[in-house]
Amino acid sequence: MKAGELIDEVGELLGEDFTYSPLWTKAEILLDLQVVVRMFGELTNIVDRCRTCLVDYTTGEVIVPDDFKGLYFGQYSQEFLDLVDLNETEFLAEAWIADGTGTPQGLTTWGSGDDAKVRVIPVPTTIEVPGGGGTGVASVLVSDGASVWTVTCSEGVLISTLAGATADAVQVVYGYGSYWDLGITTDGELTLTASSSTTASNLVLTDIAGDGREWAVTAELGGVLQTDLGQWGPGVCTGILVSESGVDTYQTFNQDEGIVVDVYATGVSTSPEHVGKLSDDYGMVQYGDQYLGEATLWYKGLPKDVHSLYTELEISVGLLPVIKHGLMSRLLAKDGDGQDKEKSKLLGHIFLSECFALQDTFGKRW
Amino acid sequence: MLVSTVISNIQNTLQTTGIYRSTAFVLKGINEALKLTSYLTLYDERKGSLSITGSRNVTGLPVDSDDAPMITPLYVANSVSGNRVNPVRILDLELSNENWEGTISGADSDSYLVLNHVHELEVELVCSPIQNTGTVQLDLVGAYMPVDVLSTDDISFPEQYGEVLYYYGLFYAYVSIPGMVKECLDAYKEYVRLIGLMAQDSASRFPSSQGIKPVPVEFDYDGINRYDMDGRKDKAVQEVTQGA
Repeated sequence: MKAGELIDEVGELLGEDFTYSPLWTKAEILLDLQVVVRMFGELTNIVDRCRTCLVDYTTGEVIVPDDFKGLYFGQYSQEFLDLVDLNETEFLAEAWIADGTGTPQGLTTWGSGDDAKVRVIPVPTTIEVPGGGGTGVASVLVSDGASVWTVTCSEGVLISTLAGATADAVQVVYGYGSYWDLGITTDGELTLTASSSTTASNLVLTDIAGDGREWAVTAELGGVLQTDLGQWGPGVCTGILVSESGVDTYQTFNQDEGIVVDVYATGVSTSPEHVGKLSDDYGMVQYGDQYLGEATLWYKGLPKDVHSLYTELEISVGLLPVIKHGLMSRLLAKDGDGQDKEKSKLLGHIFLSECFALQDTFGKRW
Repeated sequence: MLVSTVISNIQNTLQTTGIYRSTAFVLKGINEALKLTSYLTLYDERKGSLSITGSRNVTGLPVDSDDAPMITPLYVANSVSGNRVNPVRILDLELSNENWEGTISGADSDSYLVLNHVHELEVELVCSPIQNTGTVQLDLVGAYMPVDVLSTDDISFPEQYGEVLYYYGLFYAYVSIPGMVKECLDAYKEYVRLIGLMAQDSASRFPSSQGIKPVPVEFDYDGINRYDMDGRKDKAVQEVTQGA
């Protein structure tokens, strides 16, 4: 279900039709939904992920995904590594923090949220070369009609600087069934205008940090530029295949529901040589085992963040009532004519009780 | 149990069939109750099967013939031999079979774990070892999430807990009416009491500590709510008194 559909349902329950003088606007409900979804993830602990990630070749730190919460199993080059706490790392390698290289013996983790780190100890001698095998380009040259700008990407942020070279062919950006020409104003602001083309350029930019991360440039609904961090793996991926859960038939990947089960270098095979690169992955990637010089993290994750009314909520419809209870609790607490503190408190309590019950049932790993 | 009967009972209690109490609105509440209850009690147990082709350790869960998805397995066995596959922690997979991921063998699977219950399409069964002699065939008893029902349907729901749908439907309606906190609370309390019994029933069928078992929702709100309501009442009385 999309965020907007859930908000409509909550609106129906609150008697809010979002037309004249609404007590709650969709925009403010969206912000509350963001918070509730994150709280749900934190309180239930039922989101698990498995990702193949690059290891930084100077620090030995794994570049953790942005939905990372806590590690419970880690591998390097197909081998399981002991997960040890910070105080026991010296049993793995003395003076490990000085970045000596060797054969990885274990993993440790520190930090939380966006600052979470997972460190391979010691720094592996053999490591996947950053950027190797990726499809991204370092930059793209875009003309504003008079000057040419170099567009690069850092941490998902597109940066334009005056270059003075010859512009590349116009990049066609795809998103939500529509195609957009990438342009730029004389002030260096990137723009999207409806394209006459129906073939996307598949623009992928390599992060200027030089750590191998790659960002797919796509469009949100209405032609808003966005970047998605690709899950990185060696090899060139020419197709992504998905299967409906429990049905072993393959179909072309589309961004609806479904889970990505296989990503192959080429064609269909049951023994892939490489993992692929996904610009927007759904759920757990099921076949990321054939890799060398990289880490695979099995970790406790967070639900996919809600960005817009069109964001697909990757939460079961059976669990969405819990989200509704939490969301209504927040909305009824707001100042205004719709305020109902007692019901807000009751629904808040219900939300917490249901989250804890789900955590007790599903959140444990025996 | 006829859905139309549950709807009528709810509408009779609400004493209206008007807007937001229409059959369609109440039916939404019942469907919400069916799905939420399936997660909180794991009551909808059915048998399913699964084939795993290739050296794949991780696979999705089956979908039943009526499109109801399995949300978690409760018992797993190899189809041909009948040998049980036991639930373990992910670390135990490594301890029992080093470098288990992608490693194939001629033996039956002996261990499994389930990850990512957040979405029925994303929940994953991880099992080891994987056979190289053919397709791994597993039989499972699992908890499913029922599909939406229509008002004309005759649904499969434990008769003795039929009021679960009634009380959640009432709660769903009362939430949409400004005020009515006491009615909301009473309906939800009764719903939680009944699904607590359902969860205990489900859990008692699997007395060992292995695998996933439903844990009843702990909901204790009386004290706080009464205190607040009484406090507000006192304050209101005080204001009226002072005003007078």
